[in-house]
Amino acid sequence: MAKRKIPQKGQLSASRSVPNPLGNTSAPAAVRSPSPDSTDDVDVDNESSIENLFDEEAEEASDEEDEEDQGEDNFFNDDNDEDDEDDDEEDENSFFGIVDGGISDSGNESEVENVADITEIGSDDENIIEEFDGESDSEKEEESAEVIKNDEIDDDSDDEFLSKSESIADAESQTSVSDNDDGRIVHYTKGADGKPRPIYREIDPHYSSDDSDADDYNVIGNIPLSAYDEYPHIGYDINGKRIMRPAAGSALDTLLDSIDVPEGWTGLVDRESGGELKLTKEELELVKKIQLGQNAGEVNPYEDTVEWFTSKTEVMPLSSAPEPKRRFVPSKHEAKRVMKIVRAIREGRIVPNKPKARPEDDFKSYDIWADDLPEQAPHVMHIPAPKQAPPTNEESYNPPEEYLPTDEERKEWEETDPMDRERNFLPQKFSSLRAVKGYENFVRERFERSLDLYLAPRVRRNKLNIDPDSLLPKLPSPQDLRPFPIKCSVTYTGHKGRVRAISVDPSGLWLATGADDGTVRVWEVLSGREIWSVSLDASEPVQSLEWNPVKDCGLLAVAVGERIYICQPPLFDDATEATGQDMLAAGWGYAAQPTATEDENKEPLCKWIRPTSKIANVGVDVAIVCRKTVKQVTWHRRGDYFVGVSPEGANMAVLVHQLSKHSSQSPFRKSKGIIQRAQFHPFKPMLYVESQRYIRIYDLSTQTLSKILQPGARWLSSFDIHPQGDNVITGSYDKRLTWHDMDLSAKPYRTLRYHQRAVRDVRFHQRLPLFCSASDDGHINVFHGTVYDDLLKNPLLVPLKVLKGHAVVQSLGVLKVEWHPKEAWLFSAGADSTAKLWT
Amino acid sequence: MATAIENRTTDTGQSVSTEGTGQIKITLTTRDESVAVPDVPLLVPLSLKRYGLSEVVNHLLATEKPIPFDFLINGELLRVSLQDYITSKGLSSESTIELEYTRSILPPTFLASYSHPDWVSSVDILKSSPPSKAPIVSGCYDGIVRTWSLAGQVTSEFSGHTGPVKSVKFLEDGKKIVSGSMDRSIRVWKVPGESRDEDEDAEETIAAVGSARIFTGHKAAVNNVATNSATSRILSAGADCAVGLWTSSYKQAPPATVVASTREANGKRRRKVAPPSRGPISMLESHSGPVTGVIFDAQDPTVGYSVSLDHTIKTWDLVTSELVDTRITSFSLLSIAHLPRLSLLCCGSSARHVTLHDPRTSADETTTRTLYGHTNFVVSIAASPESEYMFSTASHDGTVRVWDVRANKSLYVIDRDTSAADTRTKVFGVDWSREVGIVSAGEDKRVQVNRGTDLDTAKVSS
Repeated sequence: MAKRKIPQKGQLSASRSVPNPLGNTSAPAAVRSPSPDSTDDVDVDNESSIENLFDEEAEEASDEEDEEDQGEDNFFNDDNDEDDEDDDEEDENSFFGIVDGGISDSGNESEVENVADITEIGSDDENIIEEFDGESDSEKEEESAEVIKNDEIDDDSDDEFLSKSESIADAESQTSVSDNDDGRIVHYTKGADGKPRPIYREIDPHYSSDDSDADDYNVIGNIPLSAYDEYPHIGYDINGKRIMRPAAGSALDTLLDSIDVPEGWTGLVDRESGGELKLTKEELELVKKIQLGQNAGEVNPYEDTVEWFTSKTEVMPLSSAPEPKRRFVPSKHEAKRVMKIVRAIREGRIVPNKPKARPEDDFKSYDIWADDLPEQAPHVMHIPAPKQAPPTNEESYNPPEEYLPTDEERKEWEETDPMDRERNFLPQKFSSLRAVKGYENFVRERFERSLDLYLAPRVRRNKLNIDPDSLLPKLPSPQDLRPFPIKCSVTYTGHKGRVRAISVDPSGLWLATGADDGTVRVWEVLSGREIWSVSLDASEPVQSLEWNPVKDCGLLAVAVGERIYICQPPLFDDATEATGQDMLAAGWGYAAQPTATEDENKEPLCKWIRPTSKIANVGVDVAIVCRKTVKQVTWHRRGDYFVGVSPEGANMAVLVHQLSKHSSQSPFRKSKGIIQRAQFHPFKPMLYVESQRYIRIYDLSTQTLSKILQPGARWLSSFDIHPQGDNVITGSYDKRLTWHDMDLSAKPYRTLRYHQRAVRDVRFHQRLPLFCSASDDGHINVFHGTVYDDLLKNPLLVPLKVLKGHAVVQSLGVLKVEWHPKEAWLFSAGADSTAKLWT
Repeated sequence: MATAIENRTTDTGQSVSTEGTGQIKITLTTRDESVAVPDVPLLVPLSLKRYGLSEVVNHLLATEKPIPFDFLINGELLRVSLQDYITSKGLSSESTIELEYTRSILPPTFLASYSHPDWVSSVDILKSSPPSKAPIVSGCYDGIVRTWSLAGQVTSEFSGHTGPVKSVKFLEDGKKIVSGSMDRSIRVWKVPGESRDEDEDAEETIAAVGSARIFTGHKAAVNNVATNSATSRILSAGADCAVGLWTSSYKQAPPATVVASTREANGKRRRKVAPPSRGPISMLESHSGPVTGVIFDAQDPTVGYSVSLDHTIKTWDLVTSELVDTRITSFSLLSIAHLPRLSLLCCGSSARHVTLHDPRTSADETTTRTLYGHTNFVVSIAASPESEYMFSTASHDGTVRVWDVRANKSLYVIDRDTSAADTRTKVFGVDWSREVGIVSAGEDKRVQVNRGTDLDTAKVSS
């Protein structure tokens, strides 16, 4: 854009400074276009061709002087200036009307600039001068030399420049007068605007000079005249005749000559002839013109335009291509460029009319004591290089003696491979800092450091500014949830095999344990004293035992092999014993009755028999013979029914026995997988049956399956029902303890993985909000588990304590756990043939 | 004078490290007139501990044989150096410390242990003067009550219990022995008369006495018995949550309502043999858990205290057989003893500590102190005959500890003599008398006698 304007500007300046460009020309005929239809338009074009030459210079000049000014505005201003003064050039005005209309703002600077332009035109138009002048080369050279000299002066200083321009302005007015005197202007007519308009004489085209005309032409070529100093001649003419040295006058003659100036005297020496260089009046005019940067006259500024591309339809166009569309649609590219600038202005990247920085602003002061903080925030991805360690005493030029290496150390250092050296230099001592030599490894060290920084991957580690404690769930402190068992108080030793079964009597005084040695032992809880023991079966382990939950009967159900025994250890007073005996005795009568009415042919599921006297004497009262190994016995809370579970029993895996009638029944027709455990609901007529993967809940009153719990474990080991009945915990061989909230879903509410090995048993405390899990890793985990009455509140589970003490024997740890009925005491049966009390 | 004292004490060769050059002014007071020193402020090194101070007092007294003393500051036993004490209390070394000193109870040393055929559950010492020839009675898990002479000989055996004996006590100055057993009965044995004392033959002195007065009424094991010689009353703690009040006088006792039964070993089961028995004066039923300990108030025989697994201490008025007060603690309580001078009840708990309670209803504080140190159940407590501040406890962790209520830690720990270090055996019972010392019974089937040997000499010297 700016580029396009520049020629216009040049034109304008030219036209302004030369109000009547033809006035100065020495050859008016040459100035005036020979073509009859030559118009002012043509003139303009001619001028522009000159201006094109000047173009670059103008650009330079503008660049030099108006760097601060944004090009466009300035150019517009200039245009306006020209318009105001160009009264006589109407056509030009109209031609540049498009450009006009800008803000008119005239200034001295622009004038000066224009003057400079003029001079430059003069300097550049050598060829033009040459063309129409027809002067000798030497003349031209001289002239141009002078002109250039002027230019140099112009460039040198502004003041000089200004004065120069003033003088030129003076000269301008003079020339305009002389123009009139010359009489090239024939007469003035009144122009269309009412102003006088000069009518010029016809221009007579001819060659005013020719090299061949010169007779005495020295043909020595480019040889300095000094070469002929010894000779009387100074060279040879075209015919080989000597050109004799003109008589050189004495100094006085010279002086006289200078006083008596002949016409055309210049004081210069013609290089060609060796004589005085004389210029004709016309030549002087030409020189003056050239000096002023005016048209030398021989170039026609009003030449016909060659319309290479014209609006007129041509018969034989240069290009038959149709006019491209871009010629008549607004340029998108330009719009883009404009918008880019507009955007930049909007965003403030370009500030138009920005006040000039004052020179005092350029002076920048630096606080050398300030911290060298980065002026702007580093880039997001910027990773600062790690700081190097500050130098220590060893690096000092004058280290204390103890830092200087001994000879051995020096030797050792020199012998070690540079890669293995602890440090890459040896401390040296210099008397003064001046004596320190240049560090020869400096460049290499810098290079290695740069290499390290470049090659070593550096990672920006985003620090998580999160308090780790806040990520933990807000659980109450275990200290606030006391009491819970903390350490082992009593160890019950005496069994010879793994203690598999454990049960505390309802009063909490007697602990019954059954072991692989086939014995059942009853212990005094506090003292750990074995009070009673009976060997029920030497070959079969005691699989399970449980005290009758009725307080005053003292009955103990024990599952050994295929038999279930009901015992009454002699620990209780007469009333209790009598109650228990009554409960047992009541059934004998029923059993005696033949069950002919129901199923004669069917073999009864179980046989209720009296045990052998050997064990009967010590307190075993009833034996129930089942078909398969009974793995578990568990009582109904009323103490009349109890369930025996024999996993191999298929559809008779679960048998419900009734103590008062000595009868057994199988509640299920079909087996649902391997039944492992069963338990009565704490207060509802419901039976929970655990198979390998599910816990099925049967409603005994309606005899329907009410729910199936899916703990999601591969193989369940145990389960227990919360005393309030709504929650179930399960333990599985895949190390998990799951808590089921029956109100929520069949899936676990929470899964607790705390054990390293299979979970063997899980147990709820009947009174306190405690539960525990026993595992093969020999640990018992005690948890706090509050169940809220508010149905919207989920249970609160807090791990409290890991009880360690049982030894792991043959990768079996704790096999069974049982809570004290009242206290926060925990009994555990381990494979290390001991039972323990944890308080 | 102070410096002179100091010089002389260092002359005695005590191991006072003089590197703590600081000194402090003390005044020495005592309640024991026999060992009183002039009430003059002394300047002593701060590095002195109990032993050094004891030397100072002995020096002032100019005793021939040094008497060990304990020192109290504001009723608190000094267990550390004076420097540490003033540091912990934030006191200035410029201040004057008033030291009260008392005769020290020397660490009880092992004297003897008497072997039993089975676990020994309980032990009692006859506190009479002149000392009896058989001052120790032990109850054993084999159901036999034995009396022992100090020489370690069984003077008499009382068999009749069909279950392990859980508790034994002397009654009426050693004329009778009361035993409670897991067979739910209490038996009162008449100790053979002192006439037998003249018998030289040890064999004959073993009296196999089977004639006992049987008292029945408990429905479960009798865990503990307490006796009061003045009123011949017996208190029993039953696992059936009841406290029984009995009289040792068979004739005055009401008839039994619960018949004691024994199971014959060889005959048919359930053949009841019902020896004549008497019942309790009253059964005090208020506890909700098995009662584990019971005592008479040491000064008022009409007041009884009982502790139970239901975490409570109950105060009973034995005249009216009514409950007076209930103190609720947070742990199951297993044993109780009364310190009459301080009016404190020391209760051993299942939570491995000893709590001190003031039983008076007027007391605002329910618990005054908790003493930590045992690592298992504290099942038996015996008050000290020497000092009103001291008592000893027996625990299932295999130790007997001697406590002073003025100190936070136990003064002495008595280990079982026979037990190996790794297998600690339980101690079930302890008693303490001036003549015999500390007697404890345990799972190692032994009764062990420990005693601070220098006590006598100290007494003689005073």
